[in-house]
Amino acid sequence: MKKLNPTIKFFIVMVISAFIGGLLGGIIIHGEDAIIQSLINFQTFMIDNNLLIQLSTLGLCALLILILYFSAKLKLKRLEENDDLLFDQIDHQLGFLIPFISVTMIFGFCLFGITVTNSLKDFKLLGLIIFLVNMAFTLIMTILTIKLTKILYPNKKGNPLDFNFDKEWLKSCDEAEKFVIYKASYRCYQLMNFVYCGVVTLCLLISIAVNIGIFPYLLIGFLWITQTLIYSVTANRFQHGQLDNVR
Amino acid sequence: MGLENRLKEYRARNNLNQSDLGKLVGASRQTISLIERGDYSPSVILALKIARVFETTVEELFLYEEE
Repeated sequence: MKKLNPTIKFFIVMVISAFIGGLLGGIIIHGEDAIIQSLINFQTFMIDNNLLIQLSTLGLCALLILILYFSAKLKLKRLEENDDLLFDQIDHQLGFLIPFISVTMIFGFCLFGITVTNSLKDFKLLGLIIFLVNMAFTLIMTILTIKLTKILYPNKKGNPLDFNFDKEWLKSCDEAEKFVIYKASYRCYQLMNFVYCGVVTLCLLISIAVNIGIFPYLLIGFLWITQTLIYSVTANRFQHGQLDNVR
Repeated sequence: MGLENRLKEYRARNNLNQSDLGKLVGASRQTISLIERGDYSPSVILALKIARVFETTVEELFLYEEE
């Protein structure tokens, strides 16, 4: 099949997007009351049950983290020098565990944000305690998981409590590991541009029905511009002789 | 076609496993595995280090053919 000219493809995508946007806008205007009501219901549910949601979500995440951590630790004890299969299994497990701990920490922040939002009316000390316990737990688990990773990869360096941890860790990675990190980072940068665009569109659609104020746009704009500028400035710096890959 | 290599053959000839070779050239076992499978093209420096371990040339270990 002949490939479409990119310019024509771009305009077709734009026309389809505009059509879908118009359609969704129309649906939102007609279903305004239902949308407002479901948003209010959702917010009320989140605020009323915040402590329960906080406790159950973070508790479940903590349980999963502990299971994965101790299972990886046991496997590491069993690991013999030429057991490549077990090595790969532990590697995969740790590769999942580290980002999962970060996601649990982010969940903790978001759910605590909801507690704080409601704090003027009714401040719940338990919400703060859950947040602090979650922070301490994720920090300890990060340290322990990094320790396990260092047993698997003795060349890896860095203390998670050190502010220069990321730099030191990256420095201790070999070239293929760095290549993986760079590729993943660029993919993340690319996808985040679509995510920001999607979130702005979503805010625009919601704002047809509900007044969400100016802060969502300011916040997304700030994050989007910050990401674009950091990428551009760093890329520019690297292009002008600070690449430093001669090792 | 791209980059082909004879790393596995040389490793077997020298009785080295992937971890041993990795340690000798300052790379992880996974990196050696990626190179052997042709999923990663090593840098000039790493290719030279590997060639030095096997006391051969980079051209002997790696073969590049235009697609």
